[in-house]
Amino acid sequence: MRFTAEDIVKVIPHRPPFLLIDSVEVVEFGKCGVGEKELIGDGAFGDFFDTYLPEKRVMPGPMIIEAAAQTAAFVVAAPTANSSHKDGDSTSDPSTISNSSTGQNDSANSMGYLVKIGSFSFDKYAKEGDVLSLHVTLDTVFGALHKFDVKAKVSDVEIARGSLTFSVVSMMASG
Amino acid sequence: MEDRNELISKLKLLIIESLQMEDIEPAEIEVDAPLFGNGLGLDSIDALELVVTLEKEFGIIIPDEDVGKEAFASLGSLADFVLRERKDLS
Repeated sequence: MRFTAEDIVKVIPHRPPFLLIDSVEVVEFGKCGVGEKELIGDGAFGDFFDTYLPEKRVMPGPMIIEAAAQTAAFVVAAPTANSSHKDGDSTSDPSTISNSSTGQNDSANSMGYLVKIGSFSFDKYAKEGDVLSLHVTLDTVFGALHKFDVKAKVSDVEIARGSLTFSVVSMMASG
Repeated sequence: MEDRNELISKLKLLIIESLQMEDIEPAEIEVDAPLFGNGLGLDSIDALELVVTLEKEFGIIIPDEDVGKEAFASLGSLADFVLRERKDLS
């Protein structure tokens, strides 16, 4: 199921210009998804391109990690569609999004806090005009800790990889 | 069958490698000292890394924190846990 920026801001607290994903395709709720960001030169990205390696006009590596972290945080906490959502309609309608009441996503109504960035490596740039995709897949869960494998791609070419670990906290419990 | 002492030596190297504890020598890890807190000083994030390592190296899954607490009490208890689980797997 595909979620737009309008949906994303209902789930994670990040806001423009620091919201670094335009959409997320959730492949499996709580476990796997792909975030996307079109790297256009406006807002924060205008600033990045102008001030970080300005001759190359690329997205800083740490911001790629942050975009992946936002993708994983959304996948962990993403609401499932309610029963009125029609099969074959792959684009979410915010009005049809429910929270965890369906029980399809044990982590919904939760928030993931980044606690560890593990061994990232970068071998290509994400440049102005590219569409960056962040592929996140849950590797291991131990207690509240969720470790995700991450691959960043541009045009299906892998440009970076690493792992991110989150502490997932129930928002229900914390009120 | 792998000797317990051999397994303990292997586990020491795995702990050092997976947790990137380059400043620790294997001999410094005491068999009966706690791995967490006042012993080796590991934390919950290290526990997750050990869970990942145990699954990759031995095919052993630690399903929850209760099992983890028992297995990670000390290096010796971890070795006993691995020996017991591998016996069950075979």
